[in-house]
Amino acid sequence: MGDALAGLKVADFTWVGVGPVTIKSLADHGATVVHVESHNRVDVLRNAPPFKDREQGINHGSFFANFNTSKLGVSLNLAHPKALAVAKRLIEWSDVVAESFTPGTMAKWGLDYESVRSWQPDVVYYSTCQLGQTGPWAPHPGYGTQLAALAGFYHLASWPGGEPAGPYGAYTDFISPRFGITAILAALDHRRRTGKGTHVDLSQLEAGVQFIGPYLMDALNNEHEPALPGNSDPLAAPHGVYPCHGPMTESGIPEHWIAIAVFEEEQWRSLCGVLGGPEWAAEPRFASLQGRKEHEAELDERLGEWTRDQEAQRLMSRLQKVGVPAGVVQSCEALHVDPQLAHWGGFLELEHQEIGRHLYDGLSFKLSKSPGRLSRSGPVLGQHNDEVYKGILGMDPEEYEALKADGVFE
Amino acid sequence: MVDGELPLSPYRVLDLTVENGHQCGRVLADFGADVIKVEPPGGDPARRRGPFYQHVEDPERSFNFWFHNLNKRGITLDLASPDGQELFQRLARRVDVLIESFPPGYMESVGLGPSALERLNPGLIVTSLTGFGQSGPHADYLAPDIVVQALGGLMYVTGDVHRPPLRITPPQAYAHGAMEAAVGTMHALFYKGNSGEGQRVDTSAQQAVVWSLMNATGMWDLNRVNVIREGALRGGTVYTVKRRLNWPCKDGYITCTIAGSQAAATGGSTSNLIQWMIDEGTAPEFLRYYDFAGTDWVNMPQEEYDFIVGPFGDFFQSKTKKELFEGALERRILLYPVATMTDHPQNRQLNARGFFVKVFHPELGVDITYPGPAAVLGGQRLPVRLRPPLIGEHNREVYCDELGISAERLAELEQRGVL
Repeated sequence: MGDALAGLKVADFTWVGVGPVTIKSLADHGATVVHVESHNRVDVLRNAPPFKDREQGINHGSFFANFNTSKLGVSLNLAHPKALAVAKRLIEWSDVVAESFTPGTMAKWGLDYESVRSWQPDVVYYSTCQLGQTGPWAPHPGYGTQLAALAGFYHLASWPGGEPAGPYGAYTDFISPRFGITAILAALDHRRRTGKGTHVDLSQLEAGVQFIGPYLMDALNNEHEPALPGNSDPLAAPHGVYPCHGPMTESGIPEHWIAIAVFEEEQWRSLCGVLGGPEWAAEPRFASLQGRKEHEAELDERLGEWTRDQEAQRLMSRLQKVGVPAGVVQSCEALHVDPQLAHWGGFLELEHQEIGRHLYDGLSFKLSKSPGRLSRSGPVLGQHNDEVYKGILGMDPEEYEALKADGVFE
Repeated sequence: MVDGELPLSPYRVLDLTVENGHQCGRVLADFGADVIKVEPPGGDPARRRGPFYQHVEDPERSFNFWFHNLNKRGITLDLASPDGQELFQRLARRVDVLIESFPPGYMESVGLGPSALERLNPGLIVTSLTGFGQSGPHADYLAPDIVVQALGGLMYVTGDVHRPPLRITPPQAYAHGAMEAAVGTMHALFYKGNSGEGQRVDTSAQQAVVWSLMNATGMWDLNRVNVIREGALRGGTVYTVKRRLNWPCKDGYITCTIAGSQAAATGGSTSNLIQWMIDEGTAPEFLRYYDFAGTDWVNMPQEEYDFIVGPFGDFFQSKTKKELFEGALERRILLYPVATMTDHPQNRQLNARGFFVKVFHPELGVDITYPGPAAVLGGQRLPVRLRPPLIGEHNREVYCDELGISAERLAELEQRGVL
């Protein structure tokens, strides 16, 4: 037993979403990661909610902390002339260099891939940005909140004829890291066998659209705009969400919903059994998938009338017990008491230097021999300066104090 | 490519996944692994899911199957038959990774549980993907995409505030789960590279979906705020102000963050937008002097916010998506079009980077255009080596040439429905 990536060393110059989350995975599996930040250019996530007691402060929020677990955090003002030598020492120590600035930023400091490989040819260097390192739009700045629009998620997550809605948050930020981690680990495997490093250029747009590939192919090859089907599915009926017993939201619709999806005739018969065999469900027009698709609006209405009086959790468990796919539409509040997530380790409590004990999102996979773990809470800004500069980089105390006094670690 | 070699080229992967897991093998194949997709005789049920090429419903024309199985080889095998299991065991001895996404317990039921596989091939990495993981109170729950998007919290925060929760149509829970399975497999491969040991990777699609909720989980934990879907607006469950994210324009919608919690990060963008409006003579006097960075966007009354952003809305409505995006590129404004699928083929950036790849399908006699692999390695996009397999296309290659089965035996197994 041990950590999968024990011994791997990462100089992490990333910020905001994709970069930090990519490198977090390496840290959670045992890599030693030094995450570089600056008081001079504070990561925007440090100023975004939620904050402990709702008091804004760069070390007071869990947004940044959740994205940077298991890392050592240092502050280094790269705009300071003496900081570059420190950054270079950190890079020399590392196997992997990661950055997520708009293209050209690292080159300005002489820390881009071409520069680094001139003195460190086997470096695995990860660059990720919105649109990729090359191409006419490469320098355009932005966040995942905007990029999700360009990738197509706001359009695809809309009701027919409605305004583009989309998922909450910077959605592509939770797609891109999976491609980035895969690329880095593949490159490291290659390096282990051949001694050769490489540069990974991950465009978050190109990664994002991997989650809508078949729809994109419809547009590319059929010149066809896929219809927006709401919650329906061509291979299932009923297939949607149905209101359940409970309170109303502020906008006057039910708070509690259940997703029900019937793909097979046996599932339909089982659902009818749970419904108590009402007359309408026995009508021949509902007896086949084709019939149910043709009368889907009425089917949904009938089913919704019945679910309205049902308690969502209990209905889910009754339906699943007889083989009907069903799931409660859970809010974040519900996720925190979900027995399956509790069993899995969905939320893990860690002690943070300023927030105190609070919850972090758990890992999505478990390795039987090298399980991975959140070994540290997200760092406060500069939390591990001593440990990294004097310990890992071996600076003598006088040099460290002189650089500190000079503002290099601002 | 690293010096002409794909990084995972030494590895062989058996891909037993059903629909929810296809993307896992796809990404390993993109990085060079020899991924053999194992389908039941007659073909994978995912081939029944569209959209379809030229809208013709046919198992050899499914974009859903094609996209997720590019760069793989394909064989057929009936895992439920004893002959099929025997063949599978011979295959499993020759590979580095096995990925599967059956319900928990299925692999054991066909004699291919973890301990059996370890006896067959002690260094094997076995990656499992299910809706909820291999154990726990909901482990056996049926988990089509909509159920996992619901239980993972994504639907609650997607859609309009006055309508039911909405599923993102292309299966997102499948994709999140499959990609986490790929990442877990890569961690296991790294471990194997150092230790020589295989292991089991247990993946929960539900937990992978929870990851996509960004800071919403923390909003509950720290502030007891329950984030809910807000349509084209954002922030209403966190702040007193509902801010507009998606704005109507002349021919569709664009996304633009005018101001808000990230005022400092978006301030330059908003100034640039105001300058554009000034240059065109459409900025009202007050906007010229408004202190965006110094404004408390969190506790502002809604009417005040609506008044301040009103002129921006008018400006957007006077222009097309294309005009607005071109201006945004020129003036560094955080603005993108709300792209529809048919906008993508014209995306200049994707085209300039060679993202769209034409792949010849000889049986159809046409080039089919694919979104390419996501990563560019060493300055080169990962290549497309193989078009997606036809049903059983590589049976002869794999069973005869590689396993050494005779052509007669192959024909007999095909006849009996084992392959």
